[in-house]
Amino acid sequence: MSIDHKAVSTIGNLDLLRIFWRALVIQASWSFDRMQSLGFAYALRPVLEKLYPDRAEFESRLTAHMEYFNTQPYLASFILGAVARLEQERAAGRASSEDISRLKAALMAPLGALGDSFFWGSLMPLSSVIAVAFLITGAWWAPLVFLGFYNSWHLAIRAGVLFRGYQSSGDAMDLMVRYRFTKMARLFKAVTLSVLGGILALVASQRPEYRQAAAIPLLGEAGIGLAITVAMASLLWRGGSPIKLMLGLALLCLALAYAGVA
Amino acid sequence: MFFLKSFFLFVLFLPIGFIAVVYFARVPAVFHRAMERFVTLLPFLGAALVVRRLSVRMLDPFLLTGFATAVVFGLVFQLPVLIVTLMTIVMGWMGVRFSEHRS
Repeated sequence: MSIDHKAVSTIGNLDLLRIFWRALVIQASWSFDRMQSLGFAYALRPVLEKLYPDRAEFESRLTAHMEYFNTQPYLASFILGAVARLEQERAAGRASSEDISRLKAALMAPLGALGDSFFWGSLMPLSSVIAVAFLITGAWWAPLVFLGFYNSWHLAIRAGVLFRGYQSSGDAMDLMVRYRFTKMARLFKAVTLSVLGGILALVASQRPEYRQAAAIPLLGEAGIGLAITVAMASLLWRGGSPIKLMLGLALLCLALAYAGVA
Repeated sequence: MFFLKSFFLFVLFLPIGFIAVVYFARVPAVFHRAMERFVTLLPFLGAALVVRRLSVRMLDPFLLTGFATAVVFGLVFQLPVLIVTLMTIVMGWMGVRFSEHRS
């Protein structure tokens, strides 16, 4: 590919910040056939405008980014950074359109799996249980703890991987070495379970509605909470469905209430 | 068609919900007590789902560590929840470091 631009603009930090800002709404126009393609093209637009002063070429590149694209929305920033770098290379005649498409296709699925496991599978539950730990004391600001904790990680990683993607031209190994998502996910899951265990121990002492009877000491109440959770988890482990378990719990409560036990 | 289906379901279920609320208010007090207990127990199902999703063991060591930490420092020594929560976070983190060191 030999495209001769007399003066190829380079992408600066401000351009990357523009991509970061626009990438926050990458899923705002999600579609079933091309998934996040429109959001991807929207995020990349300022950079493409800068790199391709020729209107026809700019439109052609923007349209090219309307191809199918789907990955974890936060780690999409890494691909956006890498694509911005490759577009710069392409404008200078050192990369082809096929290189850019190949990079996107190669990174989409692995980053999707990695991001889903880290953000939805470990950061989201950890943020939730930390907020719930404060919520049981009746703290009105507990939801703000969730928003603050989750978003500080999410935005920092989103910005970090965007710059990393640009600097490393999409080197996934570089991303894995720097961010250690798998290790962090394992740590977050363990801490989530630990905080959850703490909540089960404290809930009866903090919320009067969880006291079974005044005669049972708080330690016993805590043990009952843990026992109920472990019993339900064991039913789930044996293939029980959450919906059926919920209905079973409702029926059990009804039976106990009509029998005069609770 | 896809959105139309959702719209009609919405139009159908909204009045059904309002009618259900009216009928629910009329059921005996014992039913309300049972539902109150059900709503109280529901978060334990949520906790069980979290355990099921995050752990490969039914009696997870991290869950038990957090529980024991909160019992000792929250119930026995009566420390504030903020401190106890931070301690459970530290205990979880130390547990991971310990298991990594062992393996």
